[in-house]
Amino acid sequence: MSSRLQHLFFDSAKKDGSHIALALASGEQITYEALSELVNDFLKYFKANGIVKGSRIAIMAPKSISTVAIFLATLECGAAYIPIDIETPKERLNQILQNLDPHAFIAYTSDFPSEILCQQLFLTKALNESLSITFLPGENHSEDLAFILYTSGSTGPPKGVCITHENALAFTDWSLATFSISNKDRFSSIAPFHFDLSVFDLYVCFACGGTLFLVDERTTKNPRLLAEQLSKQNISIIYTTPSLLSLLLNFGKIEKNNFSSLRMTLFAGEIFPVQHLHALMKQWSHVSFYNLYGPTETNVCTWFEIPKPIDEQRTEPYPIGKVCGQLEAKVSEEGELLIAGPNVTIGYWKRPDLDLKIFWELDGKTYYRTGDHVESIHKNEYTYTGRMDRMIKKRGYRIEPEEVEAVLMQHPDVMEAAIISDRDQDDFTILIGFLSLRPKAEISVIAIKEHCLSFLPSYMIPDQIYFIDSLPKTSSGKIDLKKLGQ
Amino acid sequence: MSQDEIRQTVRAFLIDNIYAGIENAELKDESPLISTRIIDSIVALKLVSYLEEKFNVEFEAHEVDQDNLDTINKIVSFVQSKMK
Repeated sequence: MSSRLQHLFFDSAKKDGSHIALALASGEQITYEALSELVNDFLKYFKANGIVKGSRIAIMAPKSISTVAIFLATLECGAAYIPIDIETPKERLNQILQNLDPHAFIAYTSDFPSEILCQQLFLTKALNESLSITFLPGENHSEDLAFILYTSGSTGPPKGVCITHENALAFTDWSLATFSISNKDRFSSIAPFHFDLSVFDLYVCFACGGTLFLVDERTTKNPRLLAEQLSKQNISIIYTTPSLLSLLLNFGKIEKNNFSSLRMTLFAGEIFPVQHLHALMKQWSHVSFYNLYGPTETNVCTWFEIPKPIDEQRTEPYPIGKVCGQLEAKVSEEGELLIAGPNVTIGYWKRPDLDLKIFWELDGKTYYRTGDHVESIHKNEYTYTGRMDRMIKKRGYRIEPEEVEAVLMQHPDVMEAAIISDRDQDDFTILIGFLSLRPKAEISVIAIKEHCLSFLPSYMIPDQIYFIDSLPKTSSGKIDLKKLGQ
Repeated sequence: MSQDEIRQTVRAFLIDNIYAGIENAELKDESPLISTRIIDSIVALKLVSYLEEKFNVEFEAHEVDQDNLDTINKIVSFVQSKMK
């Protein structure tokens, strides 16, 4: 068994170097052998520029063969990579880079923050020419980190979930043991790399020597085009969010495409409304469907295969299912799901204040507090019943409403702000903002959205905004969120 | 179907489907909608389905893209080109 994540790739490259590792809609593709060579080019370049074990490389670039090669080369250096959403607004990027203190930052030249002055326009000949890199004097860490994934933080700036090689390998090992997967499989990378679903796409695919089809960011917003590409590419395994599957179902015209190669659909990140799931299962009656559950901090910790034939009477969402074999679960007195085992993160990057809140020591083991309320249906098998806190899941993304409210409150005309979630008529989660303005302030919904857009990623921008004279309060003087929701 | 009629249909759909409390005047024909997140990409998809049904046109998969849908003007001229 490999002890380094990148070995999953190199072992497969040794076994069958001529197999296609990565493919793109443009027709561009690369074999395991050629990708290994590309990784080596980057490796030499990184080493020559002082990247060593304990370094961190932040990369804000579109999905491409080079991006994947940079990830693998970073790991081979013993360093950790940090994929950053290419749509990250400058303010947020600055917050992330300040917290991260990276040794290198890679992005389009135009996306470089003005604070990062020493900019090198040249990379190795292997790299996509439009990207630039800057090497910085970051402080080395001592943990065995593979990557850090930034996610919404309730107390302001985004927080970086630290994933070690052991964490990631515990998840890939479980995936390989649970699903029958082979090098004949064609995987699809639909989720962005800064999203934990990509860990499955990349490393489970590489471990079995399969082919990974990289879906570009633009296509994920165009379900018709996505459906066409997944069909043309003969994709056999899809792992994505219920929202994206619902979009494919409702807007993708999937009935016009041939999905006979597809055999497995895994979904995670949020509740799948049963009527959408059932409708999709009818379209793809030959496909097995699995509900995977787990926050970024643990990756998948429970799973459930959707039974067939479809139970037409069912209206409640399916369970999150049974706990993965390598993990241990407990439920607190309040009903919160706690998870211990090799998947569990070692904590947030440079946020000891948050680490204190998420871990519980019980019976000599460290449990991660998921913040999810569950009910036990059988021994070691659960159903999700809601959040312990205010966190919202939208299209699989975690949104801490406090982070959005803090941005709204930064606007000089805003006096009070509150964010709640609701579902639209198609059952998609939407964010609703309620604002009260300062006396004599005049501001449009568009101006508020533009303000948010300079601080927040697009999925965190409120979908609807209502101006009201003052927000309702509870008897203790706090904003009454329940009342706003009515 | 005149350009004005298409424009009215698009505006009415956008106002009904997205804007809570937004004034018609705020919605400029040339302002970018999706790239600025003024409308959500899902609303854009709903608009495509609505326009296809209403005007009996069909968008190709690659045409359901921000480039063709980012402003009211673009949407209108695109639908018009499809109807010819």
